Amino acid sequence: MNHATNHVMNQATNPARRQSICVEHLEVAFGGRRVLENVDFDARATGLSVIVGRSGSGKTTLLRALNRLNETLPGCRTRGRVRLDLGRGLEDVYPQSLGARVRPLSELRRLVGMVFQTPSVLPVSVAQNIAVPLKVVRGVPGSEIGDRVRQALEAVGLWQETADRLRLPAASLSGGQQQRLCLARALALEPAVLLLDEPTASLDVHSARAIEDLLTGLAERYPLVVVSHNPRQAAKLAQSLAVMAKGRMQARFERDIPDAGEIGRLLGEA
Amino acid sequence: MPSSGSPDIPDAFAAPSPLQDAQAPVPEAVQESAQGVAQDLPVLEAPADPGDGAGWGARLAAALAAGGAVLLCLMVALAALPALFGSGGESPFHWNWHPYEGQFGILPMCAGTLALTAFALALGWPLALGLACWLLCEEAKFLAPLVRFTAGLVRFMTTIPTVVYGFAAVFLLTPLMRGCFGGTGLGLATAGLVLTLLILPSMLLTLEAGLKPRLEALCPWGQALGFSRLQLLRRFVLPEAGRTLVAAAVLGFGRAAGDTLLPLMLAGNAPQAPEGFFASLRTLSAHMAMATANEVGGGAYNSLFAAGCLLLGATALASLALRRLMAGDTCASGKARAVQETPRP
Repeated sequence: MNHATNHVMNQATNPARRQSICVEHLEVAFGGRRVLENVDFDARATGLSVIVGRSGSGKTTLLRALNRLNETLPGCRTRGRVRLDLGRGLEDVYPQSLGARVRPLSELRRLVGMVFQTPSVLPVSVAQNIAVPLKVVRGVPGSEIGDRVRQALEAVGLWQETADRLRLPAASLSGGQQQRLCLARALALEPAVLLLDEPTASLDVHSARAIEDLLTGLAERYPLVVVSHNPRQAAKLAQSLAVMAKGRMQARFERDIPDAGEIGRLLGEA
Repeated sequence: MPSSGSPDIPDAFAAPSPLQDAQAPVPEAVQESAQGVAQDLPVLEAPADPGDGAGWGARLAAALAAGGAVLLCLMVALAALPALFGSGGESPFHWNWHPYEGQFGILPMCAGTLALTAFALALGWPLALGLACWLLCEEAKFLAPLVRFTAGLVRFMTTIPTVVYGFAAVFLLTPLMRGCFGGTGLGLATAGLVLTLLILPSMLLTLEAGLKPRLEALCPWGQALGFSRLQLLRRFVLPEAGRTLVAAAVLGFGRAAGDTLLPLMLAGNAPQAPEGFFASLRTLSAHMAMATANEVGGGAYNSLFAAGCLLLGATALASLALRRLMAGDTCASGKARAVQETPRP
């Protein structure tokens, strides 16, 4: 823990680095069972932050606290402060006092894109997977949707592979293609922050590598928070690293990211 | 190694059943066949396990139940044959029920059944769909207790005896209808309103059972895109749930057409073709209950069996259609779950 805290960059001493995510004293409980306890976390306006931890350490819950997705689960109670930069500087995601106004959930979740562990395609065609959220959630006029679908697919390198299969069910794509489609769908909604919950966990090596390369490129434009339990992947991708254990933040690394072996050792200790 | 499915491949090389243990050691016979001597091997068959038998008691119970149902259908059909084919006197398929004049037409009752069932379905099906959507999609936390209460209430409604609905309606709804619209207060509208209440829980539970797995398969990741649960239901679940929607309607039809007590207590029971929402009518089921108590033979007897046969045929068809629809629907929603399922904490 000591060597980790030495690496923690104090935000106040480096005002040049703009924060995009700021989590303070976050506590999340489900039906009285505390899953996150006094968690602090922050991320830069661009760059790839990786959260690692063993199963049940609270990584996914932390991620879901950022777009208030935990609230879709029964018995969820959240305390603490979560602020995100969604285009107007850091703003509270949860109301901090009775009657305080925050962004509507639909708008918040559109601006905080999320990709899940299992490719989660909608039960419609490849093109509709992007077009319907664009139309319903983003309110894009029908005349622009075709171009936006193409741009989103091109951004994830899927256009060449699916240009002649746009009308086929999205479920007919391979796992790696489906995951890239999910990423394209999130990008099409023009998010301010991208969250990825073990995005390569269900993919083969080649598909996982394609997604990792894609994330590295996207990190230059978006703040990315990636949950992973793979030390090799964490060491490869992380520009900042957070290690979680038993619902708490165990260690933070803002530079000198440890190698896969060291991360594995940290996870073993956790 | 030759691929499975080729005509010269022994059954031992067929794809293993999912129930077979993947870790089980490969039988010696199979190992040999893999070396190219499979053609001489006998077909491997698992010996019947005497422990798999259901037992004679259970078999007897099944035979008695199935035999009883088949006998009932046979008896109704055979007894109705003379009336249906006109061999037992006058055909019952005309519009006059005047027993004392020897006229036993059941068409007014057929029309009454159709009218009342259509009324209850036209009101009940959209109501059930709207209620199902609300129960599945309400996201306001302060309304959660109301959602739980309503869901519990609907389940409780399935246990209320029909006679209680009828009894309450005779003393509460009938005077209201009489005061508002005149007449006796007994008629299509009164019986239809209460019949709607009766069939509502069955349709709602069918809709909920069909729609919920599909919707849950899209949550929470669909919500992470910014969709509300209602948008997910409207955009992605309902367009794929035609079978569920039809199944709920078929179930409602079966229940409404087959119910006896409510039409008997609330529809007025005049053996005439439906003339309006507030006019008296008689359904086939109510007609059978009333006429059986008075008529014991002759043309009336034959026409009652014809009515019973029609009713049995209609409800049996509804039941068969429902089974087919639900079987297809279960497969579809199972596939949806398998494809869409995401882990939850």
